[in-house]
Amino acid sequence: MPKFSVETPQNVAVSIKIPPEMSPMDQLELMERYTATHRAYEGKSREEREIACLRILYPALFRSIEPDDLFAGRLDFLPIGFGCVTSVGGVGHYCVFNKLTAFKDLLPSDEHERVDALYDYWLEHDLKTKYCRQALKDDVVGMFIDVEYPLIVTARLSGMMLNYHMLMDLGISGIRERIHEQQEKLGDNDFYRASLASLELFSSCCDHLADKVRSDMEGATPKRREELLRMESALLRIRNDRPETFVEALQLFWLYALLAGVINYGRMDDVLGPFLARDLRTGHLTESEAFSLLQSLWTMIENRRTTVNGRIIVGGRGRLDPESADIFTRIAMDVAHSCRYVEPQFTLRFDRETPDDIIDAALDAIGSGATYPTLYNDDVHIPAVMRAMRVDEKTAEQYVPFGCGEFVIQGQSVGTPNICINLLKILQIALNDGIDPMDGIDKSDGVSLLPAEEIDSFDVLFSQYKRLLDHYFDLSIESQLLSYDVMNQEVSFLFTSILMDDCVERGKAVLDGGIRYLGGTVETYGNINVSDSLAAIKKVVFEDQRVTLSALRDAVNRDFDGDMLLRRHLWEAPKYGNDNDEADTMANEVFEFVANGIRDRGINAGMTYFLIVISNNQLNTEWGRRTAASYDGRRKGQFMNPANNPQGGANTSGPTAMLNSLTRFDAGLHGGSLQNIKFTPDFFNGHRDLVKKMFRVYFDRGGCQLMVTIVNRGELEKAVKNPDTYRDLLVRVSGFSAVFVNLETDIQEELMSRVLYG
Amino acid sequence: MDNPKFFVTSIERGAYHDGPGLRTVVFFQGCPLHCAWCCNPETQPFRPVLLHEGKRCVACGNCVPHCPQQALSLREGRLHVDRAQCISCGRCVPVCPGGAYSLSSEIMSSEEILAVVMKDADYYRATGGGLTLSGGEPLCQRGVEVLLFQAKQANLTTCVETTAALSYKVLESVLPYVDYFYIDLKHSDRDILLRETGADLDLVTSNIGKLMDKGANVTLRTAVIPWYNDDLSTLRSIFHLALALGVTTYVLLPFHQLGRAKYAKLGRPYTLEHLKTLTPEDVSEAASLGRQMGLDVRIGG
Repeated sequence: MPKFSVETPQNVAVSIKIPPEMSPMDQLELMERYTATHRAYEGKSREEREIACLRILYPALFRSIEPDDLFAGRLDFLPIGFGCVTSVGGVGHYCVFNKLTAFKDLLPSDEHERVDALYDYWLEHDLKTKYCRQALKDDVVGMFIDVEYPLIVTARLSGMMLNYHMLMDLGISGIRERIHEQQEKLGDNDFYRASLASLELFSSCCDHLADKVRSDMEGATPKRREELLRMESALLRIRNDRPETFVEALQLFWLYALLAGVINYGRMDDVLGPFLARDLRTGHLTESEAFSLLQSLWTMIENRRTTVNGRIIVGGRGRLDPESADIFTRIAMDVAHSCRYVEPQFTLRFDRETPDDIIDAALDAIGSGATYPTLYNDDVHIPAVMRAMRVDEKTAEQYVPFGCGEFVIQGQSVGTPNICINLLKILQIALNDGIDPMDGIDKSDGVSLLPAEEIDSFDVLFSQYKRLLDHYFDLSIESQLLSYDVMNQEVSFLFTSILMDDCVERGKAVLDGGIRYLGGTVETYGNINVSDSLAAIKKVVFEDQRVTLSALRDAVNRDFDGDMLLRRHLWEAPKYGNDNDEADTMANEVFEFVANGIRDRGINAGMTYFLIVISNNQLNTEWGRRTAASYDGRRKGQFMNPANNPQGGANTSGPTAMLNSLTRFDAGLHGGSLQNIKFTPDFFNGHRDLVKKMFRVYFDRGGCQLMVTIVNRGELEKAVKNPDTYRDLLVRVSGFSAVFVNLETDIQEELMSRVLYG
Repeated sequence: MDNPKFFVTSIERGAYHDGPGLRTVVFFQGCPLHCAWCCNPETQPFRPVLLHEGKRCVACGNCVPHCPQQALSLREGRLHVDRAQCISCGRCVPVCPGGAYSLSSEIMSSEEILAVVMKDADYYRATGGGLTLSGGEPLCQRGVEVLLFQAKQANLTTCVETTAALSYKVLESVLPYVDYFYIDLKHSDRDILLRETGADLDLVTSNIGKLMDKGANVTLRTAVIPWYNDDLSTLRSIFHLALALGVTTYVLLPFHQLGRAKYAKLGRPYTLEHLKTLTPEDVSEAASLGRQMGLDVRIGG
């Protein structure tokens, strides 16, 4: 069995979670009831077990309604429970062991045994642990997030964005009817029965929340009473019927998303816009009430604290009623401008037809330092998604980025990134006879490699690297498919499956053959360090012949100790991000090899798509800590390049040069790619017209995406020194925004190393 | 001379202060003036000069034996450059592990310069930007008219930042190929200007007048320097001069010390350390004054 620690943190978590409202003893008892139910359903179908366990959790986990909430639904998460992602709770029937261990400290010592008993039970039953036992491979494949490995894997169902149109159009009763119809047509099965039971559970949660609302009415101010009455009436309607008002639609969407355990929401303007527009038109709502309701949604999402998720997407092609949707978009833009929250990750899709006032509002919000919205260019992405995912245009129009920037088709595809690959570590292994210079461990996994002494040309070197990459790509697809198998054996993700095409039609859960497009993604790291390293080796060893490859390898492995001149030559070799043809061509060659290698394996395995994402949370820094010095001049333990951006400080040729470099890659080969850029307020706000035109050129040249941080020169450095005075300084790390002073020191350093334009 | 060569100190892409739109600014080596507030002092000599960046130097002494002039020595754990001996041959540059040395400029042909400039052609088209020549004094470069001609052939808009302290013949030779002249008017007092910068006011103003007569698009710029020209009466008289020359477009550049580190790299004393850096607000009164007098005044960066 592979060695691994079940207590390894399972995801990036910068935002501190709100502690559960329930007392520790109540939490313990709930986890015990959950565990007992799970145990009791051993041998029953996964659907029966899932719904029985869900009934233990809901509505018990609902928190109180906060005085400012304008609709209902706040949930706690315990170290044991049910979920689909690692950012809140865990995956399937889960136990988050490090959190359970920490939870013990909240209890009197004579209760510790009870926790230990739970711990022991879940060692055998936690879904992710079961997966790890099968998927991990000593020294080669590690678990999320164990940065000693070149490849890390997990089981999770991230990024599900549900078909909320179906929810709004049919309501709970309509979905129930549809299930009944299918039951008649295809025959009854556990999935249908459990789905119906899930809908019952939804209605009970509405009733439970309505009770809470009623009890809050006592002693409430007249204004609050009115709000609570509206909330109650919405809950009582949506428990069964289709929503009619914006508040009802919002309530229905939110409560369903909570119960499904999804943390990315998708095209809310498309789903909620028509309700909002109608209410505004009929005078049912004022603009300021609409603003407050959206602000309340923003707060609800922020309070879930998922760090890298919480996507709300507005704008773009393929919306049913663009005019109404844009009304939502405009108000949402104001909310994003005024709330300085790190979540939701507010995202604008746009194309050449997008109204100018929306683009201007977006730039205003960005210019205010909100870091939002992030910008996605439909003119590039829609045709790119068609090719990358092999879908038609109408389908591609429903692409949505989730989490750190991976795409799915809303309501139609699974695209969870269950694999992360450190391309730079693999290069170092390829040049060191299979040994990782960071720890001296052989990670070649049996791939035969020539020693550097015998590599006599750049082509031989590159093809050796590609051979090792190919092997790691094989491991990637195996691990992704295994994650689906293990999850499907254990759970049906009932709430999610009900709202994903074509689960109800087929009578199958998402991973059981229900999902229309089975996709998946691989997060790549160190891509630019690799291409810059290759460009530097090519120049320094094979063109300038300053040093032999083996001597270079030895100097790099010593972290350049005694050979800083060589490091300088490597650092001064052509670097990506400067519109330098040599460096950018190399970056593209690496990109195409990696992107095609992963994509082809997905197609051969029968998936609709399996794509790389050049995304990043802060793993570039965390993995960098355990990655040896590299041939681009990067020091041992230093952060790696963020997403599709240059290594910090390597791009010295101005903003247009960097933007030109960013456009070099074929967006039709990846499933999302992130581009960060940092401007001074003087440039961004003082010369807005220029900035707007500059972005337009970038997007016309094939720029697919952009995320902008506005910060004054020296401000980040000052914030490091006086964190207390910079509590509201937001930065875009990559796949998420953060309060700068909450980040760890080396992550702050990585952000400061990025070039500031203006 | 269809591909003249130049000493280029740097090329800045995506610049937005030096003419309309987004521009690529090419900085040249060599200037006839010697302003104390110059923020690019490495561009003043007409030949490349050696820069030595103290914070990159670990005093390893690697460079010392490579110097043919024996200009480099280690003294009390610090590297010393004897500027009287140094001939800026650059042999120390490639041997320094920390990259502490550099030469202020490299030779580039007009073809090479334009190859870099043309990479941003899309941005120029969208923003009305183009090529800006700066320095140093770009018009002191032999063959600059060829570069400008070639830029126009490539449909670029061109801007030249000049002292205008040179023969009108030079200005006349580039006139057909320059869309915007940005000319420094540093003072209105003949003696003070000569003493502090080396410029001849009569030559500068006569050149501006001739350019105006030819219908050139001229913007005047004044770096506002405390003690030197930041009092309103001096600025008023500078503005009067501008108006008398028929120029109405004006840029005020508040004094900053961003060039200070370069003096240290050149081993030259920086004499303006005691002066306060000015903000746009500090020069807003002067800007209002200019506007009252009928100038279109902008505060630049």
